[in-house]
Amino acid sequence: MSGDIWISLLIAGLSRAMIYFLLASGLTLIFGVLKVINFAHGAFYMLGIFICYSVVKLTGNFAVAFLIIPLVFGLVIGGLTETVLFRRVYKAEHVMQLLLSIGVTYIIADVVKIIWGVSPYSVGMPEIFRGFFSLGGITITKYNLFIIAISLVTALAMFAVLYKTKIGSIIRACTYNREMTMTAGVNVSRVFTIVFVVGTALAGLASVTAAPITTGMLGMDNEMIMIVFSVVIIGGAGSITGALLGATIIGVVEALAVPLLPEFAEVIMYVIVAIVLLFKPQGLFGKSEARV
Amino acid sequence: MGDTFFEIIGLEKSFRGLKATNNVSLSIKKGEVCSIIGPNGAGKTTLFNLITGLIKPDAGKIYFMGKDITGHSPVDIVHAGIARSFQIVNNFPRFTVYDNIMIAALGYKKLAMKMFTPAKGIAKNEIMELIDRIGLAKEAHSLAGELSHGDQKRLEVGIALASHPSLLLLDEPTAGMSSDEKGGILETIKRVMKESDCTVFLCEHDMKVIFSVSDTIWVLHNGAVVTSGTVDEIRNNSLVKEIYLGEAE
Amino acid sequence: MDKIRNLQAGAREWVWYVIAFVILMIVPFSGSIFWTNLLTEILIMGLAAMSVNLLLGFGGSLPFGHAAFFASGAYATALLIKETNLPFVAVLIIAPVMAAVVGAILGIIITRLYEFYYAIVSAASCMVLWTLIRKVPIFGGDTGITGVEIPEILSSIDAMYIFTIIIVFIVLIFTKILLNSPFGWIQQAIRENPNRVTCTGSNVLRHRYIAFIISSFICGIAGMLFVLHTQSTFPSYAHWVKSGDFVMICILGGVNTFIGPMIGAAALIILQTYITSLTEHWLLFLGISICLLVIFMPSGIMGLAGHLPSKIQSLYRKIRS
Repeated sequence: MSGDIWISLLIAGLSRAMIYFLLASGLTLIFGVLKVINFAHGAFYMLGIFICYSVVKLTGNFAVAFLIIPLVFGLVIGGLTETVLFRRVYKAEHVMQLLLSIGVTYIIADVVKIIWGVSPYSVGMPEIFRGFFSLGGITITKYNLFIIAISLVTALAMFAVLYKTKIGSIIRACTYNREMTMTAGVNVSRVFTIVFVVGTALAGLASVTAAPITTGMLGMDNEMIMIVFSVVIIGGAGSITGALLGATIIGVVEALAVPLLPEFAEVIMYVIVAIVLLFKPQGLFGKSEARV
Repeated sequence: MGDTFFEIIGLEKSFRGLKATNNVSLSIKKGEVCSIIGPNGAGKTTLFNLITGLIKPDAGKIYFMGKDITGHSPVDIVHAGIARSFQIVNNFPRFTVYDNIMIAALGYKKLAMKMFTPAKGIAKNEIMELIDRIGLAKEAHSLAGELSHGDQKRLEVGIALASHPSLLLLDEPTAGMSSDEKGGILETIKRVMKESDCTVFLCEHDMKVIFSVSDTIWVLHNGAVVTSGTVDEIRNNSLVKEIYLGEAE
Repeated sequence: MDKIRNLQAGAREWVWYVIAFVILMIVPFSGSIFWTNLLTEILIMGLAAMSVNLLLGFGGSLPFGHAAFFASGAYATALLIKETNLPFVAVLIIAPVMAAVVGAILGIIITRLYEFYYAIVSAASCMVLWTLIRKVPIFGGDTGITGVEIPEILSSIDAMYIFTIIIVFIVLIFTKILLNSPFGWIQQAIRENPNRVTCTGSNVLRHRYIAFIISSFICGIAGMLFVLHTQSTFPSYAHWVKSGDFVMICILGGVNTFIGPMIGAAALIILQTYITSLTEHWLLFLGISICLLVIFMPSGIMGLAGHLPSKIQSLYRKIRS
């Protein structure tokens, strides 16, 4: 294959990577502050895609779905999950938190099955994003470009909030040392809710962004969550920068591996995870703790 | 180096550019109580962590009974004959006192991989005797997490002693104790030293404790050894007063 | 902090196991094929969950990847029977060993990790296996391997049931002895406080690794038994959702008890059989149950049962006064 095709593949991989980043950033944000790994994040993603399908079908307008879903999704799904369920287990053993999030995964999976049935759905590409740009031999679809743009804007916004605002500094303080922050008179409970809502809203954003190029079907949650977990642990749990880097690595490697070893692209991804963890058990940007 | 019991030469450790241990050299003679004092953040616990292998030094050497143990794993260092207690309570809270000591005894005897004999039968008398020595005979079958703070500190010493150390590192054994409890644990330490022929390296905040048990005192400040000497020398040392007064301000 | 409880593997429960063994042996004579089949499945899943609990309840780790070893044992059994002429007894030994070998390979990375990293990487590693099983032709792809022939002597439901009971009880006794040995005590001490274990001269990393291999061996036995029971094996055995089931069974039964996983398996499988006969929305039911379980009954059935005597006592005192 010629170089141009590889570059085209690379850009396609990059756009895939950005979907992973949107999902992983929410997951890693929640982990950093709440110290909870949310298995249900993948189910949130799946639910978001199905909701997007219905909203687009109802309104006939992708823009409406794109703007409203992440917001409502975060507030309703994220808010409910945090206040009704997760809030009760912060002090429990970690296995309880993991199990609870698996429980939520099952509930969402079955609810999706009840509402949308078992057949796959796809949203379809909005009119304005159809087609592609050509630069010599390199082709980029318009939508892939849009994904990369929207994700980079989100990443920038996240960094701006984290490093330039009060809530951002509280979130960073919580990630760095939760106990200390708790004693410093911060309303931790509210911070937790806000972070969970934002994290879930990011999953919603990932859903609507991925919807036009993804077929929504049952079981996609379980596969996506493993990819996102891989991203998070490569980058280092709790680190947004790590999530960005991890997502890029996974997305690009996947894109390049598919034409080379189509059957084993997923395995290659896990091999990367294994190699990273062998040398850096806390991930590339993870906080290293003194362990013996 | 062969003739010194325990010796540190030029030990260095930095955390993110901050020198927690700065060119520390000191030595301990067999059979003495050697103490290390210094204000908070002087690097006492870091020094203990370096000696016991929990963290690796950036430079310098640690010799114990003629052997270079620098950078050895914590497990190897225990088997070389150095055991420690921790400043914070650091036991197995849902195990009984007996079981806490037993875990340490199993580690000392290198039995961790033994799979088909009941653990409870191993070294029973030895463990009970040790529990008696640290004054917890009545609490032998209470859960460690439910003991009083003072008793947990005793257990802390007991766990360290179960490793039959030649050098016992005690990291603030009286921290958070009432003065009654302090007297009790000091007696225990003195008795233990006599009975089990071990050398004690003590890190302590309470000057009264230090002055009542130590043979030699080393003063640490900002990660470096400032001075050393006998109890009387340190008591009258103006520099030491300055360091401690400086902290008080 | 909640009240500190003593969490050691009790030593004087033998009598209960003998009673359980005898009762279980009688079941086939009741003539109910349904119950014999169900109990076989419960015992096998209980065994798998028990191997998980060796690391979860007794080791303080978060093993979310034991489906990998269950599947290794299952596929090894199926392939050894179908593709080789090895005697059956050899298969019984080699299949769990294969699971242990997989455990030894995956454990190199997993046992270095703690907490969520441990959970995620173990879950990820069973997904590697899941992918391999579906993509490498010899494993039969998405349809798995069916029609695994078992020796004449085990072909009846009752015989398979008795065989399962015997194997499961042998492993239970082995596990019980293991937990009361120095190895088991150090394993539980690592759960409580790994750093302290290191500072008393036991090698924590090596210990976690060996325990991981033993656990994967036992899980491999469960996988093997399941293939002998159903005579088929599918890729879903290696999916992380299966690992989640094992953990769920442990929590349901009570992770702090030796027999908890068995009780959990019984509760879950009986419930599943009952619910799926009523509605197709088992997953919804399971999800809600998990949420309720985690929030309201975190110490599981055995934990609840453990509290019962003291509850009854206090009630009795109230009535008398």
